[in-house]
Amino acid sequence: MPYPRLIRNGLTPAEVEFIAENETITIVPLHRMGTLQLINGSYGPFKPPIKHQVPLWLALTLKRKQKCLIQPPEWLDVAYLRTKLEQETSGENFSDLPFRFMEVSHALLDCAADDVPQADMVRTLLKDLREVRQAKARRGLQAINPRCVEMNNLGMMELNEIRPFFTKAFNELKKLRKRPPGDSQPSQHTNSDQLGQSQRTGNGLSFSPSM
Amino acid sequence: MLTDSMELDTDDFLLSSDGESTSYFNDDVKALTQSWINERCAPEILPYQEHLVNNLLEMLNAQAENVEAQEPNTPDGAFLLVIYQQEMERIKFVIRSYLRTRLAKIQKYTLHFLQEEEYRGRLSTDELAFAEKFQELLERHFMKSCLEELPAFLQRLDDEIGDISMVNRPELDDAVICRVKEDIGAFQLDDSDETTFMKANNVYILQYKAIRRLLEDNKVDLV
Repeated sequence: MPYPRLIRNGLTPAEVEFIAENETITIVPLHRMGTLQLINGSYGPFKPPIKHQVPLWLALTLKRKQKCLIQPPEWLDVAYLRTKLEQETSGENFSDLPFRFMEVSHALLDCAADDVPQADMVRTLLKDLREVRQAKARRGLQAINPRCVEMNNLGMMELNEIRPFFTKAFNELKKLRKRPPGDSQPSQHTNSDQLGQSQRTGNGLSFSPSM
Repeated sequence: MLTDSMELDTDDFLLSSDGESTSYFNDDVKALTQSWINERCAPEILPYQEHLVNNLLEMLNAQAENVEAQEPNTPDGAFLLVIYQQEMERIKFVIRSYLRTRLAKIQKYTLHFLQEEEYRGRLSTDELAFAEKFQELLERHFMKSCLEELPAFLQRLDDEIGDISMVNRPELDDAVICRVKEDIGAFQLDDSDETTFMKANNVYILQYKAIRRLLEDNKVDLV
């Protein structure tokens, strides 16, 4: 059975979260457990308190059964997020958060909030970050051109969110640029504008890649 | 060669299930997940990942047998089985979604895929059989429901008038979002002389056809 048209444009948020659950994360087992021979690889044997690297979905399942503690990634931290928020508000560029920061942080705060120090503060910071970044992405729409738009440091979830609108705008602009024959006016376009960077400053700075 | 490595993988997998200490890691799930995402985002159909799908199906079968053979007599044992099942369901979901996405494209562009040698080569044997059958059904249906009554020159299903063709084709210049996997350097996106400097982890929104070859060479991922 093929997919209905609706889900075919990009991925659904649930699917984006599903994909993020393949990221690896460190856990501290609370119980002894034999080796897990999964198709993806072998994990264990688990002997507390020896740390293990496991896929996020496995960590979440173990956590739900109270069989492990999840060690939050170092970026899920109040001090770190504060500096990122500062960078985000002061600079024009997007700060370099991990590619799947939204999905991973959402899953962890949802299911393992007690393992995240100052979870409430982390939540607030993430929300602020998200608002600043969303506003920037919207402003970045001014930079859209039918050739190439650079959108470095945006996360998978954020990209998926702006995809319908941006791709539509991109395609429409492209149609407009296809001039009818006879109209030989040279088309004017700028080289890949950087999203989140006001066109006025226009410095071609690239910033460090995320992760 | 294909079968050789397939057997090897399965053997490895079975072997390690009785030896406690052997640790192994398998990249197939990750690779198929990315192929699935690429397929979802690309306007055209991509080459079928026969090797990956077959490998994973075989491992799923072996794993299912493993799981069935175990008789959990402790709550912990039962919990382990839940984990095994969960992983299997996750993999099956990706395979299913991958195949369904391809089917959707095949139904939409049936005639075009059948006409172009390049696309025929991208379909699996089953997909090709499906496409041929599907096209046959469509043609018979159109014929019976109305085309029969029309004069012969109006009966064609692949006519072209000027730029307009009756055959549905994927829009290769549609916008896609891609993420660069490794440093590519200056890359020419279109016919103009301008180049874009592509570095690892950069993200771009651009026309699919500009990065079509890069995707083929596995240098970018669609997201």
